[in-house]
Amino acid sequence: MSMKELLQERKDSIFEKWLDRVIMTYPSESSNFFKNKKNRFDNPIGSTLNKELPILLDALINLNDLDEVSNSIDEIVRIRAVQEFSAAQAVGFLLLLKKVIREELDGKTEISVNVDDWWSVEDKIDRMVFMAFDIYMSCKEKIFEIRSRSFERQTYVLDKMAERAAERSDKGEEMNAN
Amino acid sequence: MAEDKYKQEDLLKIEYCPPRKDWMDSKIDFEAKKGNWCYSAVPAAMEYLDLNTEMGKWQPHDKDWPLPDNWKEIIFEGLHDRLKKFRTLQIFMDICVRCGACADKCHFFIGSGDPKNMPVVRAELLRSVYRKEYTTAGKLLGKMVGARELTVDVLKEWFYYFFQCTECRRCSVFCPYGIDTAEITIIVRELLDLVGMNIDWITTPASNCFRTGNHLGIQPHGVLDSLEFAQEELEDITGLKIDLPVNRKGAEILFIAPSADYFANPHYFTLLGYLALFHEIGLDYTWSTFASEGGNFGLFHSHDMIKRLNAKMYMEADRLGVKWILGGECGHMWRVIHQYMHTMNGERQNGLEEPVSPITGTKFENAKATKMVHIAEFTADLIKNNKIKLDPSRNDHIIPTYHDSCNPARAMGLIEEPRYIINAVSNNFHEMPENTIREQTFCCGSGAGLGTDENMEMRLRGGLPRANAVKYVNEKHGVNQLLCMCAIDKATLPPLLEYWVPGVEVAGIHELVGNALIMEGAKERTVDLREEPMLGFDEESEKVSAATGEDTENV
Repeated sequence: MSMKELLQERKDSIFEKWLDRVIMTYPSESSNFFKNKKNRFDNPIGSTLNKELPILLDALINLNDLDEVSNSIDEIVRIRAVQEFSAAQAVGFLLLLKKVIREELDGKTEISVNVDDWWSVEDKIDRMVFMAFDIYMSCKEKIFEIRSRSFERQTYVLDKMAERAAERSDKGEEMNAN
Repeated sequence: MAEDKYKQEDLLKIEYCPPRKDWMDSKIDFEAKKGNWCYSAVPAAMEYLDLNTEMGKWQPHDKDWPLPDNWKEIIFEGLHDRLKKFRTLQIFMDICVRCGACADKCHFFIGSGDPKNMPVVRAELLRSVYRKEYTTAGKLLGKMVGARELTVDVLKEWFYYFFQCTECRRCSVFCPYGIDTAEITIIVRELLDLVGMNIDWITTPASNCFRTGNHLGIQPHGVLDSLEFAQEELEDITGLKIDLPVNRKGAEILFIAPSADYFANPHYFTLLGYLALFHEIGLDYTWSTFASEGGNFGLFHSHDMIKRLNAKMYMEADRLGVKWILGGECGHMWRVIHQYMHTMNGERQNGLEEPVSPITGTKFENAKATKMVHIAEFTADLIKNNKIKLDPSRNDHIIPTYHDSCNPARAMGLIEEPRYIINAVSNNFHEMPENTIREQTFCCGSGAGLGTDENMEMRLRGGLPRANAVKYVNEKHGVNQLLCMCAIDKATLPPLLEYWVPGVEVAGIHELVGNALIMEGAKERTVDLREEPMLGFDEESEKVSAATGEDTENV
């Protein structure tokens, strides 16, 4: 059985376990809510994980162009970037997939996987982590931009008044010069 | 050495879950939680408001907080007074059965997963102390019955979590007992205020308001400058020199708006809308440069502070000799007016009358007690009685949805009027999903004094449920503008959307009214109140239309 066939066959089980692991990065009292509350508007975090993790898993199995899943990584990392996670914890949810797949293979002697295939899966997960880290950094930069831009909004009218006063003074100077 | 300390097999045992903790474990590491709390109040502002300044200069991440020696005594005396004074507090302390109906309704919990952001647990932070002090079971059995001592760590935990509640009251909608967690937050913040613990973003605006009449600290001439500037801008846009009555004695109506409307973006465009509307209907009214703030940051301090800052509205109405007061688009301003104003300052209503619209003759019976009418009610009534002409196609470049601002929706039930107005001024209105609007509306995540910058991460995750619903209508219907009628919303939703749903702007309802309003004698409009081209009305569109022979008449 090739690695691809194996992952395809066990996709549902891998997804369930991965989802559980990601949800377990939150306090245990909240995991039930994230997992079981189905309405996407009442539970945006759980719904996002339910929607995006299978897309990432698909990309891993089918060796798609990883750029196509950048949006799915963004959806998850954007949330984790404003939660009480360190940078490593915010992007580390992708590494949990390695652990889940290893566990899925562990002790199952009937399964033999080509080591190159396994390394290629690990490489792909690693690349996703790098993408996640770039996205995480861009989220943090965005937050700093937002912080600085909020001052501009507060002084909007003052800035416009100053602009108008400057225009008038320029016009006055021109008239005097003439 | 290193080999002894770190063993490879141990290092490979990675625990991915956060450790389980007893919820009573209250130690907060403020240094590690930057982005989640707000800076403390500056002593000068505290002093100006006659608040306890014993703590002097301090910040939450300081290792030791310079609490007054008798801080515990102050808290318990304060709690005792309030339990006697507010029957609701006593009931809220005793009747919660921890059914959990509120648990997953708070936007901060939904966005963070922090169990102490569940309204029931947040309230337990106070209840546990109450049980220990006031109940026999709590005194005898302690932790077994959810009772605990008030310690410095508990006090710090109060500061951390009760400034992570926006008093939006979504949780109270779902409580079968009607417990209003916002009231519990209000009381705990009062208690913290007594020992001198508050945040700068609340205390400085309140002291500004006490000094100048508005949170921004704008002096009377500054308010006038801004209004005159708006008058000039409206002349550029409409060609009309609009009326600008300021501090005019003998006017029929006093108009009070939140102070951000004078200076901030996008609030200011709503102010242009008010001015255009009042000019068009020939309203006999006045602005005041003294009662120049509708909002009331006293609400985030204490009941006494609410009363103190609110009194100026009636005092100024009395000085100017008006008959009633009209109020602008603001959120917590209306919670104060609707729920506290008459009780607190009703005796100052000299000469005020039950409000009657001078344009339609409609009697606003709902405002009989306060003598103050919300502008959404006033404008909806004008539209209902065909007193203004509107061209909704002037807003065709805007595809709006409406965010029910928490306080107008939940504290005063103002739900249909704004929608009635929006439908009259827009052809493209789309609602967000049912469980995110009206009484169930999700908070912006930054109300009740939390709209500052140092806690941005907390604000952004608190606003996630709201932004998530906006994103849905943005993707489904192409919504490009989020309407609201709250000054805090107008300040805090733009950054929220910039992070979660870039490309969606924020606007007030009366900005769209101002765009759609057909004003007598006005020049042909090509731009909206933001001076951006209106679809089908701008010069480029006219050229295209002229070339194709289409009729470009729009008014």
